[in-house]
Amino acid sequence: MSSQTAPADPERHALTVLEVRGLSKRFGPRNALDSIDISAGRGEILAFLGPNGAGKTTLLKVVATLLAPSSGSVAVEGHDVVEDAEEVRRRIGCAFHDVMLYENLTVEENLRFFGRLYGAPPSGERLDALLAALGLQHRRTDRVSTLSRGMKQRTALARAMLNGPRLLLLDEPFTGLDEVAGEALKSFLRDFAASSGPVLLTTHDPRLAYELASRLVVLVRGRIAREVRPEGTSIDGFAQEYRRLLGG
Amino acid sequence: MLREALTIAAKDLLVEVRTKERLAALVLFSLVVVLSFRFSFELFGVHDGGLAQSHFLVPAVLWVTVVFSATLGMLTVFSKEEENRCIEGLLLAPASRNALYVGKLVSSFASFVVIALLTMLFLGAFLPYDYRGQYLPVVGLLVLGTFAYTALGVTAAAVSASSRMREVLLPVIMIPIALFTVIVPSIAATSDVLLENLSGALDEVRFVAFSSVLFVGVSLLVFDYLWEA
Repeated sequence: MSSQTAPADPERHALTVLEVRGLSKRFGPRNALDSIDISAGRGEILAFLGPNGAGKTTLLKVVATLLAPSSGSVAVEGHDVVEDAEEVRRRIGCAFHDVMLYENLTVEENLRFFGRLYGAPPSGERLDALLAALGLQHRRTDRVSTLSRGMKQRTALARAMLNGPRLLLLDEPFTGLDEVAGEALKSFLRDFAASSGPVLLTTHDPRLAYELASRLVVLVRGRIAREVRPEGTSIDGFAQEYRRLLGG
Repeated sequence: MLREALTIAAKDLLVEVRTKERLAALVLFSLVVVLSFRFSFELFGVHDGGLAQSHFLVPAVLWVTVVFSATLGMLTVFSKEEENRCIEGLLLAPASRNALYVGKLVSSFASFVVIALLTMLFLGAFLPYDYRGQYLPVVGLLVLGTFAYTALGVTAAAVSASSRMREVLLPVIMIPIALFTVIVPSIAATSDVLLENLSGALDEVRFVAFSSVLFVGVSLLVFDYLWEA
């Protein structure tokens, strides 16, 4: 069913995985996203910050093909999210605030189900490795309904990794994680970015974003209010500027 | 597409078997409706050998109960996917969204056909009614009619899924469309079978089969667009 669209410039696309140009998304009269331009390549972790309703989740959902852009273009490895949505979905992994897991299925049943659905049924070995990497081996036969929020979040991340994505989209991935799990996740994301492709994540925590990301993007009312690299500012300087942009 | 569809159907059936939530509620609903008819008939003295034995009335009671139960079941087809926004997990599959339609059609049909057969059993036991020995043809009609109604219902459920008024909207969309394409022809076919008018029944069967093909065809054409936001 899917059509293969070859990237126009393969060399350039090998470096740039995500390209967003003039993206706007309107819900009725309200502009959730307004003329967003951004690109991301392998090795990068982009942290999107901003107040509630700034458009962070909407941006991730447009890239994930769950929402259609009102105008502008979004491409993942040269595949347009509207024209070639199936190819885009083949290349991305998503873990949003809602964990997208069936409460009445076990961790393993959920992962096997989504793996088959995403065209990448996990072998026993792959499943073991994934569960081990996210510290879930001891809960693999437990129903999701019995897991804590943090465990569900980790299972959602395992689901997002099933198809070997080239771009990872994470909506507030640190919510509900304790300090140890949070540190493990940071390390996991750094490894992913270095070996597989860029990570786009949203957070409300400027210090966490500063520590983890290679680029910090502040969204306010659907627009990019500030985009900085951590090396160009201090953590306190950024936190202060972030509060100012939020009007605090 | 078929692989993804069967994966979704298998998951739905596993969850259904494990929780038995929907099936138990629908069986109970069907039983309550059948018993309501049974005591209504008795109230007016039309129970034994009277109106309740009519080969016109029984098919109507049977199909109205099946349609009401299936409509109730349709409400949960996509609303259950709202838990943890699992629907987004399904929509992220790198496949045509028609896989979702076919998967939901298979799993819903499997559940509703069980309800339809149990409804037939309840009517037989509580009215009581012997279907004049035409059990297999009536079962065949129930399978066909339930499939046609489900084929329409899955798309109607998807249309109404995002509405806050879906409990009202779904039957308002479904029943008028199904009335002359599935429900009335199925009642007529069942009545013809009970009266051993097989040529008449065959005409109605062809009509319901055509409706099934039409509903599946149209659904496959429009289903992708239903999820565009």
